[in-house]
Amino acid sequence: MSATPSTPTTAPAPLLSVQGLEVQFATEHGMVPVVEDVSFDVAPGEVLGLVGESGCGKSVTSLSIMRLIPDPPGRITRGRVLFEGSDLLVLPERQMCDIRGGRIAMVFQEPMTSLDPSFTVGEQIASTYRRHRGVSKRAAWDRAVEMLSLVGIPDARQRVADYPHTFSGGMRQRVMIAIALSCGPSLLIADEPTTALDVTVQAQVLDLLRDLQARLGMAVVFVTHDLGVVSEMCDRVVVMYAGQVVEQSPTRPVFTEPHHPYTHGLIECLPSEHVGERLRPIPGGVPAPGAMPEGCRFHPRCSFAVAGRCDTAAVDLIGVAADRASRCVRVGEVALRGVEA
Amino acid sequence: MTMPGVAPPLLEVAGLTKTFVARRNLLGAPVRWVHAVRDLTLAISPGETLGLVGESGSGKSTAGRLIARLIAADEGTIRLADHQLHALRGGALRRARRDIQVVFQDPFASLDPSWVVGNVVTEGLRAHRLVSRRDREARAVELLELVGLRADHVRRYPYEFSGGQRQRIAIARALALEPKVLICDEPVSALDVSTQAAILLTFEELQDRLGLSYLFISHDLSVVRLVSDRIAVMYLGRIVEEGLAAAVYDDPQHPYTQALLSALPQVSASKMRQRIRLAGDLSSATDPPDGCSFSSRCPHAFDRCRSERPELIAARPGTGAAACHLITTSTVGIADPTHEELTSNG
Repeated sequence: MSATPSTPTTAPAPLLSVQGLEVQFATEHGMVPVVEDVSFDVAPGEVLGLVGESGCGKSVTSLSIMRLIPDPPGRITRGRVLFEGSDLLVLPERQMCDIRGGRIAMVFQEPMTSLDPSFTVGEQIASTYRRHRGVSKRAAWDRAVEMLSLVGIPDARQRVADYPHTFSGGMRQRVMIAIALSCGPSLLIADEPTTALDVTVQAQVLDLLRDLQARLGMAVVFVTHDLGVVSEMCDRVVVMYAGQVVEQSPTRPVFTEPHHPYTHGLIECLPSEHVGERLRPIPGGVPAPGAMPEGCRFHPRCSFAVAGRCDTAAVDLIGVAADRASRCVRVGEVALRGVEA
Repeated sequence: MTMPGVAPPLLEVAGLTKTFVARRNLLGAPVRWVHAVRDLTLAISPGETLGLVGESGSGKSTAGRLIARLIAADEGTIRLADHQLHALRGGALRRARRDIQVVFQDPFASLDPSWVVGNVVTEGLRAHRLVSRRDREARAVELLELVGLRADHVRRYPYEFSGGQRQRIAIARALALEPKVLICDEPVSALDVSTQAAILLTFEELQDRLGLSYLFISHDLSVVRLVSDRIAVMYLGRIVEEGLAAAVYDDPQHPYTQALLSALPQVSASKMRQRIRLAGDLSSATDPPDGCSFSSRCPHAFDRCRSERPELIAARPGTGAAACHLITTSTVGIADPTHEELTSNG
């Protein structure tokens, strides 16, 4: 049943490799980094979760991959984004346009605002397809019908000529997915694609994404704040805090045995895991960009922090196992409780 | 619905119904209606938390507003302690409403940006002439400290605060009149998970200290499970299941509750349920199906479900009730539709 490619004996070359990404934004205090030293790989056909709370830099990171950071006020100041053999950050804009929507597609949170209300959904799918494939109008329209039925919209042949306002929230998000996948991208970036949806509709859209991912074999970067969604959708997880990657791991162990105190703190905050007990919130708040604490950025909120070690020098991502890393100098010293397996 | 041997409920709502006009014709006569809340009956004891859960359009927020008398119901009764809240008008209503206050979802919209926090939290006290000008600031400081803010916050403006802190301000404002019941309408839905945890903890601590009763309205099943003693599940304006929180979650009786719980993404593998796929979207409250309002999406619906509306009946004696024909038609207790059976339809 599963269409995922069998794992080769050697690790496959990554489809996407983000290396040392730094993004700055203009503020009243000058240019301030909001994403720093962010590196991760995505293998072909892999689903990677990019997870963190508001302001951690997960959306800025995903927009940077597509070079969609508005400049000004933002600017990518360092790093490389290697995708299918080229560095997207130095590609001429014309070639970047071929990649956006063609090789890398994106689905956003708000299905209500991402669609143009003045065009039928068919026109919106067909125009994307024609832009990248240069086919006839008739062929593009046929593709639109095909994509709509692929994403599970009933009566696709009739619905293709309807305007977005006639679709419900869940159905609009399906239309967005149809547009995104129409050109057969090898990478889909999904930025909180189900956050605005009701839980039963979210389940339908997650099922659809998982099904299409397996059938089409594309890689997915799944940006979300919802650890439950990560747990059900992703092969691997990158946890971000205050503009940095603080932990990288395959999905299951990051929850059963977190290696970074922030990841542990997030798990401690989950209502579903603590029924019948009092929650133990992470004390304090996220530091503002430009006002980052010395040393580890999490240390002022961390119950495991040690003076002299955690508050002096910036901390690097430290490899824990072949496939895991944590930005914590005390990694391995402290036992962090996770969820039951 | 009261259990024998238990103190009478503090808040009792019976048969509450509200219909909005969705569309009028050229002459202004209504031609379409939204049946937002229909025949809502619930009770909350002193110090108890009742969770009201449902998806968009289920009527849960309208229910909260009706109970707080922010909008008037078409039918039904609301009793709060000794007050027949539904029958009160004018000054009598204003006085009675001190006992029931609301915390809204969006702390960015619910606080007046041009007022300092001290004025925001004492607005109710001033409206009811319960505080002298001299004592106002001291009372504001007390309220802020009660919800985990600091005395020096009293002269700041809302924009200087984070989302979580603003929600604390909104809670302080709601507590100013020393209410008995707090209606919390999605109070943590706009917050990040770590902030949400801190606010939920504050709600629990306030309940311990002040003996408050909560009507906790949320779409988030995990949050509702954590804070509630009892839970009512709404679908298209009606309660379809209610009962003790653990019973509703561990042994849901209504097919909608079962589907809702199975749709919730879980972190730990042991909590993941076999997903029940529902066809279609939430039906519209302007045009609810005949019979059971869930019949158009229910994997078990049979003829009777499409013609006759099921009443809430005890599914588990003493612990809850559900409105589903499966309960009455099955001979041995409720049909406990196994997940295999359910998912084979999906």
